[in-house]
Amino acid sequence: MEIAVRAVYGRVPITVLTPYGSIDGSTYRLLIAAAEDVVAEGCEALLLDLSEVDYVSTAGLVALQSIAQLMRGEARADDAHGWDAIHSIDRDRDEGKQPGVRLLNPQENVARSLDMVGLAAYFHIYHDEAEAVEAF
Amino acid sequence: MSEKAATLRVEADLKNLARIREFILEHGTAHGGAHKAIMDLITAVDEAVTNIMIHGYRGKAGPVEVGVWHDGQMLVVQVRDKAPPFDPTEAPPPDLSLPLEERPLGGLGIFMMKQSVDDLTYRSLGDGGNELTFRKEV
Repeated sequence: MEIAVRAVYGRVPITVLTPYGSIDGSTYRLLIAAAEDVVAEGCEALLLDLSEVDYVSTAGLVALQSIAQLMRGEARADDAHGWDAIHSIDRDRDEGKQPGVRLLNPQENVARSLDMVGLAAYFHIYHDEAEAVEAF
Repeated sequence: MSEKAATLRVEADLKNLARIREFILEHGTAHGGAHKAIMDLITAVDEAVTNIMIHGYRGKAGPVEVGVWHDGQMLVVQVRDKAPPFDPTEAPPPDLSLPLEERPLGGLGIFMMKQSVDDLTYRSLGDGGNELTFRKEV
């Protein structure tokens, strides 16, 4: 899976990660690693552009949650345990939605998977990049 | 496995997940059918095979056989493996009325598996291993 990285500037510097292809059991760690790299470089606002992602399994959903934890400066939960990792979302902050990482343009089946496990309620999701950038 | 089935045999390697998804998509769409329904079925099978590879075989080598066929309006996918017996249909469903953090631990993939198809049955194979049959109206 290829992952493009670029910077955009709104009120704050924002890193945009664009993964290409499927986020499944064989690729989800690559996305987490890419996020770890940009966080290590000082990223405090991350926009995950999902427009080129055609499929996300539960491993991919756990990766999204793990990235939300990274952006909050927390240690990642054990991502082998599905719900355990998703349980650890801090629902008390920002009305349950993650302030440091936001999602852009998930395809229909990806959006359906996010909704099915309740993650759609925990991420700000945008369909317009300018609007997403403005929101940080 | 049905005589009508197109079959794919792969090793239990997570790198083969994409190949399995493509195989189901190719044979699932051969007779038409709603793309959304076929993608839901693919989601269910992908979760099952991921669980087989990670938890069933525990990362070790082993065969995974996937069969695809149509039965009227139903698209059927059958997955066989030689991992220790495990029946995901027996896993209790999560109580979705509970807040996310209060739901029982474990079983996210199994939850997705059950949510995404119309019918899921399990059979323990006599010679060892497991057989899961997914059915989805397409």
